[in-house]
Amino acid sequence: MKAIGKTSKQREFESEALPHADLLYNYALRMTNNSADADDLVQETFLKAFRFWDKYEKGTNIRAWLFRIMKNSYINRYRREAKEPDTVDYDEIQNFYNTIRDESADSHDAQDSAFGNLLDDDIATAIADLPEDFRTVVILCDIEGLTYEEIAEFLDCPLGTVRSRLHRGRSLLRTRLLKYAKDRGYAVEG
Amino acid sequence: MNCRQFEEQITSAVDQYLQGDDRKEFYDHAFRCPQCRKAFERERFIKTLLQRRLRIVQTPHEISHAIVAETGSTDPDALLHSLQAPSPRSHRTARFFLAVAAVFVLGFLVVSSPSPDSSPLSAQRADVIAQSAAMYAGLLAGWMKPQISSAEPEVLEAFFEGKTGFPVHVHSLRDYTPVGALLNEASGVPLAHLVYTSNGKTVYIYQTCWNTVQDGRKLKIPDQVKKTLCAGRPYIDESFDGRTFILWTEGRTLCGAIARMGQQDLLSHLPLAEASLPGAR
Repeated sequence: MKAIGKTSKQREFESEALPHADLLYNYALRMTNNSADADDLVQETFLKAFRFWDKYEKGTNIRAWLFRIMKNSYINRYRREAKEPDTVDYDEIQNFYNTIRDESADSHDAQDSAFGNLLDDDIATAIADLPEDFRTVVILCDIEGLTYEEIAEFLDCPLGTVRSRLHRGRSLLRTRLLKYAKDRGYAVEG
Repeated sequence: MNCRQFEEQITSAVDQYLQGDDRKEFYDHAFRCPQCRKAFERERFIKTLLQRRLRIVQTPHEISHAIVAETGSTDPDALLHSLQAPSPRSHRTARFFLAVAAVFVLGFLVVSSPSPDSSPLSAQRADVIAQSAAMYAGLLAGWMKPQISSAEPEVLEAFFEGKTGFPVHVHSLRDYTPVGALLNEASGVPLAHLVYTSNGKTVYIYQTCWNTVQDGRKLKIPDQVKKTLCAGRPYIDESFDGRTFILWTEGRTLCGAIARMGQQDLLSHLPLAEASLPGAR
């Protein structure tokens, strides 16, 4: 069906921006852990993107541009409500990570099996509970399949930061999943 | 590479960014250091878990319709079409599945019922088919144990590296995860053995030097089987008491697979070129 009366802006927007809706929707879904909130966030992002379409520099990474709009929208809409600190205390996280790593180093193999019994909702909740910076890179890399380079561009940070956040994010996620498994009686005592 | 350097590379290795010497040094260290290997497998497990359990969700149609309506478009079908474009996830290889911990490998192998033909068949040590059947039975019965347990193909490849004189292929079997490996020899010829599992089912892979088997002095196969393999076709035998045995060649390596399943089922898991099928005797 050929659209009648569609402006060049609309045509461009549809062909360039909208194919990335799934990327944004999945990111929104994992960040908010709520489909209704994800719906709102995606719509808001696309409407802002359309409104500021003239600001988009053609030929640059449109996914990164859309992602930044969504991230800002997310921050404005949800971060204040969630009372989450604006920045992650990396020292605190590192200390915590080192502590749990040492405590749980011996019993992981047997405990891996317990993860298989966890519900998808448990896993989604564990991700949603991660500090935002870690959650973002884990979602983009492990669920959405983006490269380190893409993530670094999205977040406007060095590659090394992406890598270290991934490492810490996965470690924290593992600890949370082990706790869920143990709470449900799946994990082997270690 | 020491343990500290290894830890710094774990995330890059999990995401397959390591190349060349860095990659080799990493997997060499993983092979030598069980604690570091565990750390690597733990992180890889989390990535695999997320990939398996949290699928990419398609944007709901009502959302895309709403966006189109809001942006003044008159063609929601075009939008829906555009939303069908492949997602980033679809470009990834689904290479990694749930890693099965070593404890399950050994546990599974020990508790599995011994097969009726679990004797070592020592009288036929030179016969490739008898060897592989005996090893398969031995692994199931528990009197043969993997020398290394890992779900990481690279770790298993490192285990065999430089020890066999022929390339050992750690294949990606559809739906099956490698769990362990063993290296032994018959008449001085190295034999590589790999075990894969999936939901309690096992596929056993045997590999040895194809040139040596063709030569026939130290290892042998029946002439008819050799003829089939030399013609580039796999040899398939379903007469193993409910198990299927398949032999095929990959360059300098003779590969065999045994599993308690039918021919078509086993073939569907193996990386054999379709053009060479079927080759049943």
